Amino acid sequence: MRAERPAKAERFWPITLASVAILFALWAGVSVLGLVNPLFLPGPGLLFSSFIDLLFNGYKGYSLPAHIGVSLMRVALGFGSGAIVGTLIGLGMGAMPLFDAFAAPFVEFLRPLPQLAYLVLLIVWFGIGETSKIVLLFLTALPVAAIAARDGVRNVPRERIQAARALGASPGQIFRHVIFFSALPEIFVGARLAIGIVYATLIAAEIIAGSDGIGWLVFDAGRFLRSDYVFVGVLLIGLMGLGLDFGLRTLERRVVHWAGK
Amino acid sequence: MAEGIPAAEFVRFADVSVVFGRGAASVQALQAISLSFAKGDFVCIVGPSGCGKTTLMQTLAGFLRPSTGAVSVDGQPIAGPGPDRGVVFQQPALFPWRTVEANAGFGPEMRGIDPAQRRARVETWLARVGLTEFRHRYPYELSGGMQQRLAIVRALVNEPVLLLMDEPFGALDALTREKMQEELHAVWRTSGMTVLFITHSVEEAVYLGTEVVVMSPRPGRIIERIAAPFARKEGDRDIRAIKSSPAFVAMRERILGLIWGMAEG
Repeated sequence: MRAERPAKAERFWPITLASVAILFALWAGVSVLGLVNPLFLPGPGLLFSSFIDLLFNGYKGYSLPAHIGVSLMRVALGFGSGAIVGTLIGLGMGAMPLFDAFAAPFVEFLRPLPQLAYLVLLIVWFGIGETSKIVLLFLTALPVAAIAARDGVRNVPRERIQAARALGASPGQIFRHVIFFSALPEIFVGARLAIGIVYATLIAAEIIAGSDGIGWLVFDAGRFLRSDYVFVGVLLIGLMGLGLDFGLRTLERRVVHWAGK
Repeated sequence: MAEGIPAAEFVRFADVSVVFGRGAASVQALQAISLSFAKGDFVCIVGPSGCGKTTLMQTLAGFLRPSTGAVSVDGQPIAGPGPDRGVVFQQPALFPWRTVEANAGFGPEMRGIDPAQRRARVETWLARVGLTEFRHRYPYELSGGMQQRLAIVRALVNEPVLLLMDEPFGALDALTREKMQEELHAVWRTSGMTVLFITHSVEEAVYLGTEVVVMSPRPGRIIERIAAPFARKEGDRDIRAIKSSPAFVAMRERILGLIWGMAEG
């Protein structure tokens, strides 16, 4: 018996389309009528030509794809390593109370800590190159992934484990074949949460220390009042974020197809 | 059958007590339960909520160690769960990431039984309960009744000597429930398996059981054991005819009276 759920917003996609179209029309109208200084709000035409300009000429020594690529590479390495190590730690915490007691203080302390609070320490330790940024993102993703995995293990229905035991599975088999898969939906929820935080942290980190990346591009363009570049950058950052989440959600639906059913 | 073990003591609860918690907050769930039954019996346990039916089953499954007393099967004391005792819960407790087929074959797969033999057993049992066409589906694509059939098949594919069922049909609608009772009865009749079956439904117990054990709550004790003739009845197995026969109704009412008496007292 399933409780009635509100209809999904996807069903009303024409409304979504309309809201984007209305905003776009307002923006175009305002700029065509010259109601707002382009410095505050560059129009669609200017924005498009700035985008083309960035695409062909790059920004301060790097092409636009290079800026985007380096940012995505940082996300991939930082998030990837942090999510994998965090998930392993969390699985261990969920399965072994002794290890939970050992690791919990670090994980629990790290999780609510604002990443930018310790970024300076990482720069002192690892320099202003790639390492400090990737370590930052690693430390951002790790506790989120760890706690999701730990909770996933803890929430495995008891009867599912009892059923496996009664069928003759060994403790190791139960962990690999029952607990891990039972926790997988929560691991994915944790991963999506982590990638959002990692992405936000990356942009902030590139602003504070960097000379490339899409976050740095926006910040640097802002310093020179190139609001057209800032707008292009912000739009790209937003679209990339949507793309990352969409990618992870698609993967989630394929891998944990049973979740929520 | 192990040597020196009387046939009527294939399964034996010897003076089993279970206490949860300690000191003033402790609860005695079972008090000095002694109960034995023979191979091939279908023993149904009924009683009001909180009478420790599930606790009793859990000591036999090996999920719970008795505080005092011992439980044995074929003379062997229970040290933990094992594939010789299949367990079916009220919720099917399936593995939702595995297909119907992979759920059914879980036990033999974990125990390293030859894949060809495993597939043959899975095929046989899925066919028997009408799940063959769903073998590549996932549990969430099945109805509640089919999910519970699969949970039973998953236990049977392991070829246990004992099947322990804790209100397996409690979550099903009345019609599905009755169909499942017929199917389970047919499986038991043809396999000669030993079953311990816990239920809230006295009617179900009288229909399925060779023996009905009535328990009382807090602390859980056995107050009566009643031999039921209907499960072994030959000839016409029409379920409605059996359940509406005067002998059946009389036994059902007598047991219900026992349970009602406890509720009032």
